[in-house]
Amino acid sequence: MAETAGRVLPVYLVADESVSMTPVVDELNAGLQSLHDALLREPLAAAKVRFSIIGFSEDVVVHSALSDLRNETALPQLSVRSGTAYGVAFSLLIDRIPADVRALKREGFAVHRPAVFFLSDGQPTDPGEWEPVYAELIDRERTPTAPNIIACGIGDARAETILHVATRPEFAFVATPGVEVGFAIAEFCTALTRSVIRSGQAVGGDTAELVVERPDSFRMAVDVV
Amino acid sequence: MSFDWAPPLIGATGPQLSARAPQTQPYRSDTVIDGWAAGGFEVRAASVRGPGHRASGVPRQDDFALATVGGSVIAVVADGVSNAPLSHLGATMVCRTVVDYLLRADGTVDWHDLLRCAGWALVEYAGRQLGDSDPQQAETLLASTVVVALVRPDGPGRAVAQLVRVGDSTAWRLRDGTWEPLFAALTDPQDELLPDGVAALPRVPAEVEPVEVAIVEGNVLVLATDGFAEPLGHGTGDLGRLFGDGLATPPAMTRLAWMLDFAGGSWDDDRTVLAVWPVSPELS
Repeated sequence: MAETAGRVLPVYLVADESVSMTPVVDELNAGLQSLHDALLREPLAAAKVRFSIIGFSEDVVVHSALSDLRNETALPQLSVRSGTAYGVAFSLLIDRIPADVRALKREGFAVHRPAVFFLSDGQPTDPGEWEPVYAELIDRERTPTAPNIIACGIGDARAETILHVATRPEFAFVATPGVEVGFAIAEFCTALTRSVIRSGQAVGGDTAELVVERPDSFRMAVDVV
Repeated sequence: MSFDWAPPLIGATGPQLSARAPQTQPYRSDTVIDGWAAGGFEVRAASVRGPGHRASGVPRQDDFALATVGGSVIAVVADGVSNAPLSHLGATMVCRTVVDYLLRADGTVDWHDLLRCAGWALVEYAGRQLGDSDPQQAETLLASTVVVALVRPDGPGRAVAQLVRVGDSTAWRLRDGTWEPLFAALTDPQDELLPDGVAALPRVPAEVEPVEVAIVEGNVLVLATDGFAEPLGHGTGDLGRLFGDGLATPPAMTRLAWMLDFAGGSWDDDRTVLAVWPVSPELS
């Protein structure tokens, strides 16, 4: 046996299942099927991803717990119910993400910071309630396994709400008005697939400085590599 | 005569995928092997494209370089950061710049200046080849980790090595099958998650202090990229035993490359190992 089992990236799709999603839920399900197909074609990438599907409306439903999609024959189908309570979804993640990370570490994996793909087509029906739950979820002091959240707004979701949910401004996507919602969902699923398959290392360096001046002793060793 | 060329298996069987041609210029080989004896040293090195890059037609982003001067050995290993699209060129630039710098250095080495020059090589390369000498652009395109060792003789069968690094490429003293890490771990086993990114040139730490270690005959100085270091872990698993035995004495060059082509689990990164043995003159 190898001493460690490898690296994995936990990915959570958190999808709005409010009634207003009815016209597009089929497209979302089809998008998930394409994601699954794409992962099965890329077994090395798939080996490094664990995927969970969560739906929320006035309550929250775990359609599939975090699992290796290579072992799944089909993905669960999202459906529609009433309400758009963001708070119940974030509250569930506060419980599940640390537990999932612990379970993966017990299996010997080193775990990347989890990624949450959040999709909503409406304004939250629990204003004032979801914000403190969200704040706890993304606070790395209180939640050491705090996820990166990529948020996508379609339909009636407002840009400022989606920007609030995304953990970085470049992680927020809002469908352009006039663009067909089904098209926006397809785009979201493509982006999700691409990020899941290409979860490469990011360049970082908290304590290191970029070399911005030519050192006096510098000499070009080779012109052409 | 027969030999089973199937790669050694570490952990569970992984998917068997054929290697695709890299869609990049200039030409870059899947595997590089080198080795020689000089003065009181034997060296071996290999760099092998990982199953992930083979399957997706990406060139090997790891590289190494070796040189000898005045009885010492210069050893460099670099790993191009995976989301920098030209980082394979970055890794090669860094290796060759470091060797060039150390061949010119006399006596004491300014290690901070060495790393700054290696970082600047990326900036200048971006400027010359791509028409953009913006350091941030160089980082985006060419970022690479590096680990450098300068190994000086210290009497028959003895040597002293000085090492510096940027990022997660690392080094060990291999002694009687035990892997002694020469750099502090970047992650605490108590940490919940992997770090969010890797430090890499053209970023250079504000302070650079070389690690110094004595290597005596029977020990091996080993430099490697994370494609080897991660599955190795503390060196007590299958991979640690395979290389602990395989590097006990300088192996045939092709044998090192064969070992490094290990398969299994989800270990799909490029992997590079460079080993230096101090040997008594009568044996070399």
